[in-house]
Amino acid sequence: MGTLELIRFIAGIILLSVGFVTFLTELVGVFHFKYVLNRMHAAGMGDTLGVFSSMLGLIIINGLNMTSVKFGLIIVFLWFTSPVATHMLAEMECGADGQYKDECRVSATVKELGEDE
Amino acid sequence: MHDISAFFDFTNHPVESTLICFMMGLALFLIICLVRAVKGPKACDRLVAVNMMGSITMVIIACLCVVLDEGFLADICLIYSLLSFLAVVLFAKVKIGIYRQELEREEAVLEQESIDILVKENTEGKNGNA
Repeated sequence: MGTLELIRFIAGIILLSVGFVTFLTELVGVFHFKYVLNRMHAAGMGDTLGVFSSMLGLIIINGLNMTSVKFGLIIVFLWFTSPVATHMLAEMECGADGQYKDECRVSATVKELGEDE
Repeated sequence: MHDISAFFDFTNHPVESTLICFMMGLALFLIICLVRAVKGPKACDRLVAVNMMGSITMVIIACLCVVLDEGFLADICLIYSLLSFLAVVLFAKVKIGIYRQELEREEAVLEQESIDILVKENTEGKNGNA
């Protein structure tokens, strides 16, 4: 194994470890929080930063070829779609069930405005 | 067919072996996510867990692509991300649509009840006058 390959390997492993730790944080957050909107905050992190750093590590390990370009496309696609999916889930939670006022701390002015309507 | 256990050899294939260890850890995360998806009290919790499982599975497939050195697995990974997104958005849309339909039906029933009460009061008033 040459020096350049060793450097590439170490850099890739460091980036993969960052992704792994991000996924671990996501998992701990999803089990730690009690309400869906808080869980969503933890889960959205893994979709963007976790996949981004893992894919970047795989691109560095794999070298530049067509497969790496596809990995880059996956990152771009996920950065567009993951916030949309999270937004849809939050809309579903707030629109369909409507218990978020009991779970989240809403400030007094906003609460009064909501009651006036 | 490839035999993935042939790559699990730290002296001859250090990169592949490390990636296989990484995939093992992610598979463990996947099982824990499944626990969350089963336990989740509401549909929204389950969907969040399924979304997480989708992203972790994508990383596992990408690692497999690098370990086996097969380019077509990257295409599968791309399609998996599309399908995962589609499933979550479709399910949320359907749930919101069902909720809005129920709301409209309840409003229509309430409106009909208020009209009925008005009609009843009117007829009773006329009868009383007569």
